[in-house]
Amino acid sequence: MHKRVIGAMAISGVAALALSACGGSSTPSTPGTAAPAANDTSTSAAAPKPSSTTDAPVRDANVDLVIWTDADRAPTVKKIADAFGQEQGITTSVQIAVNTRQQFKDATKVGKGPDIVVGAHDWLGELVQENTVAPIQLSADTASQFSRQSINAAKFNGQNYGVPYAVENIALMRNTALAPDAPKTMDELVASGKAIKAKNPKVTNVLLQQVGKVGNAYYTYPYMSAFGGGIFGASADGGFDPKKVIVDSKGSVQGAEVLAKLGKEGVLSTNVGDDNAEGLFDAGKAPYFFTGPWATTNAKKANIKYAISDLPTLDGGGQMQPFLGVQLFYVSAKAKNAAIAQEFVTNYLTKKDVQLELFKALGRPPALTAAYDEVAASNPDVKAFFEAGKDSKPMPNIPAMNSVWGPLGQASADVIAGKAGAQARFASAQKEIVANINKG
Amino acid sequence: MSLATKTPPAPASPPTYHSPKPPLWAVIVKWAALALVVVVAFYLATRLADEGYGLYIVILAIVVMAVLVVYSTRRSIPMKYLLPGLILLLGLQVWPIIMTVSTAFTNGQTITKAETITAIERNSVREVAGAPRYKLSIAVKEGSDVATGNLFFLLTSPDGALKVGDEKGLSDLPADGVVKTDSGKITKAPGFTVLNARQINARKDLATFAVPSTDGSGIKAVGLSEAFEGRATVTYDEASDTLKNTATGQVYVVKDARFVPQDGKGQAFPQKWVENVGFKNFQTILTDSSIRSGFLKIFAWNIAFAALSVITTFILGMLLALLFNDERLKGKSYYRALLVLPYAIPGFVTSLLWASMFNQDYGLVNSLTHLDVDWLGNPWAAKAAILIANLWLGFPYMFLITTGALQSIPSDVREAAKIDGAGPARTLRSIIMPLLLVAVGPLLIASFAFNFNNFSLVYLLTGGGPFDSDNTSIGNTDLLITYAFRLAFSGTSPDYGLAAAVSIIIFFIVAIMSYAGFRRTASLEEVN
Amino acid sequence: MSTEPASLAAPAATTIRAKTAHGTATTAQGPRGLGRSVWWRHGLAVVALIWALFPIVFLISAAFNPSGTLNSAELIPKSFSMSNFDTLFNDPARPFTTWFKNSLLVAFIGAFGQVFIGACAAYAFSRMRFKGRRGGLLSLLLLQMFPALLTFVALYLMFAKIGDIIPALGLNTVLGLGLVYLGGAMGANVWLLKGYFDTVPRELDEAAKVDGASHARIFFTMILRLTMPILVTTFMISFIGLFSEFLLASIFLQDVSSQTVGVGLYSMSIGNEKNRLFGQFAAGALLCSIPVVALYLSVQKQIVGGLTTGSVK
Repeated sequence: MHKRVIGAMAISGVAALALSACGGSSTPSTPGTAAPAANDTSTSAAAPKPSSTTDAPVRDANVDLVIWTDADRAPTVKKIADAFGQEQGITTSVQIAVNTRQQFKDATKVGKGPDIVVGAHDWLGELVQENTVAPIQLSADTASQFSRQSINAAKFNGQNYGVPYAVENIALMRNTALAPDAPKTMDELVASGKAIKAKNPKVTNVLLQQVGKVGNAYYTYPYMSAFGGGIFGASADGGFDPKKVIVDSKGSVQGAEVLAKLGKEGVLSTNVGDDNAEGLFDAGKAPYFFTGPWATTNAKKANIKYAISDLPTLDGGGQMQPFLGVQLFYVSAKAKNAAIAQEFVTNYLTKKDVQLELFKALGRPPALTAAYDEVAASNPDVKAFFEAGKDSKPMPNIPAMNSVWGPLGQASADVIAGKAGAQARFASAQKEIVANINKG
Repeated sequence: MSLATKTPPAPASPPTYHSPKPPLWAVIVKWAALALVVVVAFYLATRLADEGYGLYIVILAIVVMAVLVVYSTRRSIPMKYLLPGLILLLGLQVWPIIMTVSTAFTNGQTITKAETITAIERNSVREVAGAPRYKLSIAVKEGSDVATGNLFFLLTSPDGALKVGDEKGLSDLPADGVVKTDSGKITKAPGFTVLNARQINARKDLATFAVPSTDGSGIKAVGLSEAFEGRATVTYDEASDTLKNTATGQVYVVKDARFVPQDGKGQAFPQKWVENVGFKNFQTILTDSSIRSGFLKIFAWNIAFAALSVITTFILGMLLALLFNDERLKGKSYYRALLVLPYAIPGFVTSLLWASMFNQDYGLVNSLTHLDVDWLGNPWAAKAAILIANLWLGFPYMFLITTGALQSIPSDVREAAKIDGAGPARTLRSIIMPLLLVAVGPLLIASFAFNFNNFSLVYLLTGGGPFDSDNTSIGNTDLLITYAFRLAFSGTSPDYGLAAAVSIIIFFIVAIMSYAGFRRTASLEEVN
Repeated sequence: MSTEPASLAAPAATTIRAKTAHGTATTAQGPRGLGRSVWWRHGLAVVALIWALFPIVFLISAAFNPSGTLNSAELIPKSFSMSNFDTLFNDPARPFTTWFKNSLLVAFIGAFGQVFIGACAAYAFSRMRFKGRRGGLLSLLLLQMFPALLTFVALYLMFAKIGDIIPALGLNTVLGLGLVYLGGAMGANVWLLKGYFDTVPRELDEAAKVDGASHARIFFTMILRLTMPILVTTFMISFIGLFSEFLLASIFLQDVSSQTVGVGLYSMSIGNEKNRLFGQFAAGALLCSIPVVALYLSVQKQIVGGLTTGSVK
């Protein structure tokens, strides 16, 4: 890394802006935590012509609508925006951003941002905190056509700020060549996994779940939710209350105890993380994998026969409920073309055909119920993922969540590694989270 | 400019040789370039004036004056060589540093209070319960200018009733001659010009336009074709500097640059505005127990990391440079090119690879050495892992530098040493090393400083971890810079002001240590 | 010349030789000793290469593995295909070729500018004596120690404004980024260059001066020529540093078509992209090394075999 001593040492030490964005949830200690919501998969090679990338850099004064999105969605969003533009007699431009979340905040603050940005719902609190998004007044009638959770996810302090188009969550993925039947409970899963491992020397892991040395709260939450635990209690307006942290509640700790047990049995390990979990599954080294739709692309490439089912139930508790991530279109608070942007999100994106088109780009269950129903009828993966998350809650979208990823992730890693007891460790995580929130 | 030339061995050069006539073409090129500078400066000045950056014209003028004085006169020869770099340095390095330092005395926010209040009020607009959603067309009176004429809302309520609204209020619209689409949106109405999407978009006054309705609510546009009746539920009272939620009656007062509920119940508004805080950030660093406790631990490792990184990479790089500095070694140019490979692949790529190789169960390091070290989970092993990875990343740089520097050691010096009967080891130690250190000594110090702030390696390899159980803000491989980064850019309310304060402290620490190290090296004598 | 470089043997070897009687050292380095010494070096060189290259083997393996993921347990891919390279060059949302061109452009401009500015400054610091010289040199060194991470915010705000005045240099432009890189030119290179310039005997300048050469002529026609090895080395190092720089670039370059390889590749390695795009990522990273290695091979003669001050004398 010495190259910059000479090269551009003074100017290239480190990028606060760039890196704070890369964790997805701006938590450097938990890379990839919110990533499931922040990125997407399914189509990569077969994308159409690069029309969207030929537009002018930054924003062009002659364009009537500027949309920022990431590389995978851009071609589809471009198609939709073009159709909308034709309908309205205007020109549109779709630009690809890499660290969309951070770049949107930075650029908007200096007046160089887009009119619309596509992103995950858990950015919302932060975007409101920084005055970068505008409310979207969806009519009650339109809102009722979306899944209830996806509309809730777009709200902050009771106000709506986004139009949802897809939901995503983790589920149980299994290698059907190794495990033909889906286990209903965690005990079943562990028992059958161990049996598979015993008779198949190639299998090294019973269950793959991203943990890593700093832990991953996104995957810890389902254990807590199975016992009625969680991260935040509900606020008066139905959102999340940053003053009610329930990481040390009875339900949460019961979930942590399951983590401890699985860690002790060697089912979960801090040596499995975001860098190798997928690779191990795709090499056929484990029958079970807790993961989201983003993992299906590589599994198909590696010719793994897989099936998706609900997360198992935990002994003494209920079913593990994953965090729900919702993909939204936001309108910038400093949009230069606010009227057109509002028109696009409220009256165009809410159409079934448009939502179906967006589905093609992502392969995630559409948020619009009518569109979902049509997709689910023909796509078992989508249906299975949706079913696994149909009763779950959206990931908290309040800024206080940024204080949770680090401490809770590390607490779960420590519990899995057997470094600390579940009860005590989650209590200290609670203390740290509360202290961090109060600091802000 | 105070930089007066003073040729070192003054008596050796008679004055006559000081002013040789430059060739004509050089003179022409020089004056053309100067003229160009002036022309460009004039253009920039007009641009600056257009955009309203008056102050910067002064700065521009100073820069241009400096250029003219330095290059059109014979006064300061050193300045002729230093000025371009100096201007870039001041503008692109010193100035940003000054800006950063100044934020250390603020709370690190960027939004003003007025903006915050506007945003809160705007965000608080709620649809009036039970009010209808209208189909909307936006129009101006026939004959008036579409860009400036008074705005009218042509509305179709859900029951099909037609209305027209302006800034005074709502009235019925005669149905005669009105043309509607299937959805009910009016496309033509006698006496009005209906605006198209582009024309509406150009009306910036639309953002504040509302058709007043019952008690303080207003009908506003949602996009181009829908209107709703809404009301701001939070209002600002300038006299008491408070916000009030009209729905709940909750009053919000100012505290720490944000609005918090007066009675302490419920949630504060998340927006914060910029405020000067004096020395509070520095005070926080000195008094906050969690910051203070972590500081010493991190500091010690930080120094060890930087020093060991420099030493290991330099030794390995130098040994390899010496190894390949042999005329007879066949294919050494290929060896060298391959050795540069670790350096040729982007650092973030190799950091990723190393993180993967250090995995306890699946990594290559353990599987090759038949160890079972928890490289990234054990505090000491993680430190070793970082040093090993940094050795790999850093040695090609030292290899390149030393290879280059070795060429500057005159071969006759070595010959002389040999004639004097010095053995190879002696030659290395007392002839080559001192000469080498003169050339690369300052670079070792720069390398120390670089590694002291080597954020990306630590960030990408261990993320600062492993962390001790009760404090995930202080990792075992954290450097001050990764620690500051975490303090500043994560959490509920990122504090860039505090981060800037930490960076100033880091700067002073590194600067003092480097200066001390510098004084010890022979290179200082060269400078004198 | 043939026996001379033996005195520069690696210390491991020299310690052994140092133990032999020093009087016989010269004769021991006859034809027989020469061969042995070279083989020794080849042996060490191979060890060094293994150390330098083994992590790269993974990268190669992942690049040619159609289902490549970051799983270092597998050194040798089970299947071999160019599909990752195919995808890399045909992904319209991630225009690798454009990135590559942008990187080459910014690295060449940046590195050339850095070396030139650095060389000018080094000439002044090495050959002239003026007030503020010592202080200036020290300040330059100390300035490099400010944690640059945090100044990026200020730079971003600054270039947002510059873009209003001169759109071609604003945010999201490769030229603007190149300009920022030049800001570090003086501080970063001056010490290395000055150190080398100092080794060029001053008598040469004096002689030229006596012949009537101006300071500019001495600098451009003599000093730059004599210090070519270090200029080339500096250019190399600057080039490498800038070619794949991503921290600053990822703030500056928002639009995908104005990005450099560093930014583009980095964006492919974060979050779950890391797994999904790892094959492409590895292929791209390998390609990144080509210009650097090619550059090194082409300038190596300049760096190593080139002029030495001894031969000038």
